[in-house]
Amino acid sequence: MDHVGGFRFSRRSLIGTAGAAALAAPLGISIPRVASAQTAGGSITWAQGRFPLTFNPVRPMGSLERWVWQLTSARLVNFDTSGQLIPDLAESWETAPDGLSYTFNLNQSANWSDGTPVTAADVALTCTYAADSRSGSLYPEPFASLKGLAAYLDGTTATIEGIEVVDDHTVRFVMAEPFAPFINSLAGNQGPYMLPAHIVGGTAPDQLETSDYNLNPVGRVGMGPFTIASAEKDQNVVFARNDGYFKGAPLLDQVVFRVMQREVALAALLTGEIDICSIPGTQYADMQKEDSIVITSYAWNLWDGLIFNNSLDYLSDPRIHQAVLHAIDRKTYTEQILGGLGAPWDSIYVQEQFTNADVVHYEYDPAKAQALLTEAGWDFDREVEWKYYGSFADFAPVLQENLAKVGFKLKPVALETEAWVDAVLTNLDFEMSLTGGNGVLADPADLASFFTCGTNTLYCNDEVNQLFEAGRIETDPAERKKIYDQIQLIINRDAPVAVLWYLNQAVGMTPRVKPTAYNAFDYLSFHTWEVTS
Amino acid sequence: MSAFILNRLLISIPVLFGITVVTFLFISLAPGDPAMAMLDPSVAMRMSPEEVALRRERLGLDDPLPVQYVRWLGNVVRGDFGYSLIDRAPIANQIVERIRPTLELTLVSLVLSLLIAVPLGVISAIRQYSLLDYTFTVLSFAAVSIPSFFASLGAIYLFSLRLEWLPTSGRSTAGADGGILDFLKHLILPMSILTLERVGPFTRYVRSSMLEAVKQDYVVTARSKGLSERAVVLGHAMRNVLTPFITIIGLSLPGVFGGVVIIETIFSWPGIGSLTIKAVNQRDYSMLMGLALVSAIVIILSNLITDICYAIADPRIRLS
Repeated sequence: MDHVGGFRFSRRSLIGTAGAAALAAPLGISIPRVASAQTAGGSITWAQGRFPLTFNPVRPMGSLERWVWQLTSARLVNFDTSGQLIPDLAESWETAPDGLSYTFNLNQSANWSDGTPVTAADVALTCTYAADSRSGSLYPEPFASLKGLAAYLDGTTATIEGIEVVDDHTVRFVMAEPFAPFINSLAGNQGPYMLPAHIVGGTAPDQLETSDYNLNPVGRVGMGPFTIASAEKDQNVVFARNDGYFKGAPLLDQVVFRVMQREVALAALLTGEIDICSIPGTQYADMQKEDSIVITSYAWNLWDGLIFNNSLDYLSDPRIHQAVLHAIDRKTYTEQILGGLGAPWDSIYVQEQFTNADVVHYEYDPAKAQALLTEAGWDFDREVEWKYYGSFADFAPVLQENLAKVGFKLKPVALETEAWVDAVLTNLDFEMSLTGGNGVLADPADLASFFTCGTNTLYCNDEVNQLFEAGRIETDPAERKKIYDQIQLIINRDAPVAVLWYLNQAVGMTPRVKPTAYNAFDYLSFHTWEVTS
Repeated sequence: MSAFILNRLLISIPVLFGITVVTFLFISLAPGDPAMAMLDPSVAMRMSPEEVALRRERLGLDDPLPVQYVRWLGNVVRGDFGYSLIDRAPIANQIVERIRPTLELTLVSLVLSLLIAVPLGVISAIRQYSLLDYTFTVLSFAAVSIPSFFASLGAIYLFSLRLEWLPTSGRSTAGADGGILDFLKHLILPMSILTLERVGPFTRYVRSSMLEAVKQDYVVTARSKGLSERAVVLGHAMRNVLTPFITIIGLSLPGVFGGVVIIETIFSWPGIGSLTIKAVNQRDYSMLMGLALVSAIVIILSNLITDICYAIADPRIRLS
């Protein structure tokens, strides 16, 4: 272990950032692909910024909650590292030519950890909960077009007509109208993880959150590579291997999630007290100098941007948005402050398969910015408030200074995150603000909740509305691509939200950890992870 | 005495009522919405107003404030503290689970800091203006002046990262049964920082009380009777330092039960302090109300116990 290096980093990180030792945000993680022969067994400890907020699978509030579910359950499909659909519980699937039904054939060797076979009834129950917000479901949208949903929600029917159990290992979803993003959304962040019908069946949707299964997760029945062996609130969750896992017994004996402050976690990583910890962008460059750990970064497909209140006349002119983009030296910021973990970006889509190459890049050009502002009749005496929250504290002075150079007066207003949500999202009380970690959850259609009329950006363009509507029902992939290409160009031109840069995720690990696959949707195939002695 | 105690307990009922009303009002006035709390802002941004409204309705946040308060009060009177708005787990259990870790930390450090501070304070007082006195004074001011977050991170840097003697945080090694030794290793750092933080003011307190006591006539009398210095200090002066001593402990009691926010947070110690800060950050109103009620009761009881101890320690004080 390189102690000299450890000191250098630690002094800066522990003492230097001590003042900012606020409760850490959820930690992210990545996996480098390493293939080598190791012996099975062993345990890894993974630092997390908090304890899981809930063990409810239809309420995946963040990466941490999704990882708990990947360890202990499965869903129908996943994405591989290149964004292609791969089987999880479903071995194969078919989309009807009219785009109105989807049939999934389940893996017949899948069993719950108590030995009960996994059947289509489990899938039907889980998806019924997911479609129903009363269960605490955070993402009912993928199921919104199901046939018979309204009748179920108002109590007319006991089940959703559009979820059909064909036989024990076949389930079919029937839509009332085409909904092209359906399968993608099951594989993205919105996709629900399966619940055992023989345990939770009969629980009313509004009782799911307070059910024993959700509140007392230790030892409960699951079907993932691991089961929850113990959990101590705000301390740790210990997962033990499930040898009956349908994709093969996991190589590790144990995975431990340990709740730690971020600064403390970085120190613990250097001593080997923990094995995995996410690395914040601002410490990415420093941590790379450490010999005792392996740092990996991976695409996350998300971008940060500035929001303009497009309902205010003086801020709605696209030329003003473009001027602001020309005024910001994004290259220097991403290279120096973010340590190269991100790079300037201009499209609302980051994944290669969705990106339109014709999107205009707004170069750093203060003169052009000033000219655009003058052309748009900007009042150079006006001071605009910029409301931001914690993770953008490093950016606030840079933004203010960059804009001051072109005569745009900006007053940064720092808010605690929940107060920011209240002001900006609930009360729409802002002139300019920001949006962090945006992009698609699974499918380009996801950004409709951002750029169609009546959403939080207060942007309203009939053409964009119609295009998003067309993309939602268009089932031909080539045609869909054209639609979203066009949306990108319009948003790129109007810049109701100024896309600044995309940001990759960085993770630090001790060299003994050999994880094997990763993707941008927090999906990790935990059963193939191993450690070297 | 029993009439006094009964009287004080009866008075505390309207006090508690007032505290909960004020707390409830302040919590409700704070910006933030439990229906969206702890969601990543980018996720919160995607939620439609209808979804948020449904969540608020399910959490019972849509009713007028007086209705919400009366419902809460009615449940508490029946012994039901309700469910957390965030993880939906029962609140009473969560608070009870946190008391033990907090006591492990705060009680041990209270006893230790008294064991250290009393001798230091007494020596400082009877050797006033000596080198020893100055040394203790400088040290105790240093202990008071170093913020605990700084001391905590510094200690982690030194003892965990550099020397690798102790674990950085947590209460035990997860997934391994390390027994009592493992627990003690985890306890040492947070407990020492907390002790250090307390030794400073305690020493100063004991020193000044002792200085006052040794100037009293009865101490002069004791000395002139020809008693040994040891008998004068321990037998005569010390006993009269007891009253301020009770004050120190009485004032520390709410902290003993209420936990220590910063140290518990940095060291991931699952006590009441870290639960409180978590509830604040999560806008977990019902959890905050439960914690406010418990801490109000603890403060009222510690004041009562302190008053009773005064009467026992100093016969001149009559409770009425």
